[in-house]
Amino acid sequence: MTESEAALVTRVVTDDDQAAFELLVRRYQSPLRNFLRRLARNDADRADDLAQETFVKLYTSIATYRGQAKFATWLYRIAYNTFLNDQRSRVAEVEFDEAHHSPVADSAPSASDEADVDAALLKLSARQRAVFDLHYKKGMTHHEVANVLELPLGTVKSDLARGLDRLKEIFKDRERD
Amino acid sequence: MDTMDARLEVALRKSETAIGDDGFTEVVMNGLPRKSHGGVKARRWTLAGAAAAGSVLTSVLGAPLESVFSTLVLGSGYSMAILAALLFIGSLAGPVAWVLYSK
Repeated sequence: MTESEAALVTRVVTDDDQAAFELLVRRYQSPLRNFLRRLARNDADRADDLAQETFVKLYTSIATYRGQAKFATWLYRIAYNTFLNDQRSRVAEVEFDEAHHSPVADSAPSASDEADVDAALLKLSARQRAVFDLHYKKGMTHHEVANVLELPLGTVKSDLARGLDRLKEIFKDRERD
Repeated sequence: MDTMDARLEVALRKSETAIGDDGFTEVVMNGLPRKSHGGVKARRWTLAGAAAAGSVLTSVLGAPLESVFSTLVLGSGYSMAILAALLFIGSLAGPVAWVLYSK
């Protein structure tokens, strides 16, 4: 039986149990790095740096975890805020990315819908990418996504609806080409 | 739901490819800040030392203190129990406050 996240957190807090923290990192490294890669537009190095920073922040603040929120909610919130802070420090680069870089248009035609969707998601804003990843890939409810990203529920729903419309447009364009 | 919606839904919900650890966890663990254990250790030793010192002092000074207390009680309106309680609280207050409020 796998030990719950709450039990592992308790071991870290009460005994400074490094093995327990290592288990948490191993358990969450893949979904967290995937989440950050999506936010960082597939920049794997940047995403991994942010993931590492997220785990360090998690470790230094772990004593403040009270268990009211799901562990994953807390972790992804730290990750998203870490990404936003990094994004703010890269304003010039981001403006270039958002305004001129077009990963979908630049990429080679994909063989599968999944690859098409992954590429099309890069056309959405960072917040929309976060909303889509948490809802569709991490299986979170609208409420949970709103909680992680500290957004109103209506914003999450409209981000999903607008994002889907945008994805459909991109899909249609690709099929016409 | 039209075909486009269905295809999008399926593609979006398809589980993502797992990223292999490839030493990532090790890098994270090596990058964690070292926590200072000095405070915790000092507090444990202080408590143990205080308990030992208290036991020794009680056994050595118990009888003489009792006679002093008896004299004081005779010369004042306070009972011996009250004086003993005040002395006990006074001797514990400092270490307890330090243990509770130090980080």
